[in-house]
Amino acid sequence: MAAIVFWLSFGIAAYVYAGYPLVLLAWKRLAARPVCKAPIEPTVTLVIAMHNESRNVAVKMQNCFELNYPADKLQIIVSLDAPTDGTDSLVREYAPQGVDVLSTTIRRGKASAINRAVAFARGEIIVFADARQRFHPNAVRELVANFADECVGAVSGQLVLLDSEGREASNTLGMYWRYEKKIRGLESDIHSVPGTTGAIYALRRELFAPIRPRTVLDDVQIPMRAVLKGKRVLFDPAAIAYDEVAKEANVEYEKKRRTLMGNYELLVEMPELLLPWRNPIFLQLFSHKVGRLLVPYCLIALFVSNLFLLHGYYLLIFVCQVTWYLLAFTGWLLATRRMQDMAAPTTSFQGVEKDL
Amino acid sequence: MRTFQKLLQVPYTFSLMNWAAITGLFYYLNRNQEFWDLAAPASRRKTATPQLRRL
Repeated sequence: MAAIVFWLSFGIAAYVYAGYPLVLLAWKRLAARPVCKAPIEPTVTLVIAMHNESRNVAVKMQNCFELNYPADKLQIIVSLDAPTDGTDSLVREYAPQGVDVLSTTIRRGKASAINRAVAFARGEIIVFADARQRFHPNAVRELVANFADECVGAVSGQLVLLDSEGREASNTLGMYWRYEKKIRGLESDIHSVPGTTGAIYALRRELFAPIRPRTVLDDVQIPMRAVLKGKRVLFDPAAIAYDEVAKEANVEYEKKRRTLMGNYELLVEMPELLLPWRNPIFLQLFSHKVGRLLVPYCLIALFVSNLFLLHGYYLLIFVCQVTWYLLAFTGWLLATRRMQDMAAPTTSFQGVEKDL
Repeated sequence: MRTFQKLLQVPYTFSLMNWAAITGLFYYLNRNQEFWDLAAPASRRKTATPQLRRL
């Protein structure tokens, strides 16, 4: 029994992180579906939902004005979700330059802000953006070019994580993100990506239907509806947005927890996604999204079942597992120490003094 | 030393991301209570209809 649990857990975890990318690679070689990109210029509405973003408003708006897209075909809507830090007045300064500002006095969440904005949108294509990330000047043009293909319902851009020196991040989080983007690229080449990047994605306006207020992952629910309507959701690495990588994994942990919480919500809200005859990318969704939710429980089962199998090569695997978790624990201790150092400037100063 | 610290980051980050999946479920189940509150009749809620303002 322990051996069955052991190998089943091992199999699922190995499939999700290694087997699935290999399946995608083979699938792409056999049945890639190219997209007919063309330099079209439909009307576009750029939707930016904001809560308390006073620090980012000036840079973001400047970034929007620098986009390489005809101004008469680009509507910019900033949908404010009851900000309390002066974001409201800062954004209103851009109203004379053609920015539409929607504002509420009661906080209802990002999903509600998006619903309000799309109701006012005039563009044939809606581009969704966050306040913090900057777009490459050609980002909108690149996103929109994919809609020349009638099969395309939504397109995700590429989020590039930069380190403090402005280079693409090379730390573990940067590596993890690059691995994630490779998988998205393969999924896109075959059919569709099960979800987009919230900081940069576009959708045909007619495919939008208001999402439930307090939805956590609008960037997954909105495109998955397009997939259920028979359209493709692409990942286009040429449409780029930039963000700073988190220096500490703990920060990324908070984001990841929110994302994974949203995945549970997605499966409850859209159970049809788990029906292979309804969802054309069932395998991708199951392997990419559901698999990531299952892996931690598989790892626990792997460890516990290994305790009952301490002989032969199982013993070696057990030693590897214990070593892995000890290293993880040491990494956690070091990260906690770094955070304490950052939180206590006097300690850091003493350190500098000692170095001098 | 820096290389060693970078290597330590791999098991740490991987474990942290998996831990996020477990705590994510916990947070989702707790948040459901708020969903029920939102679904409750307006008279039982403290929120009101938002006022839209377009400039």
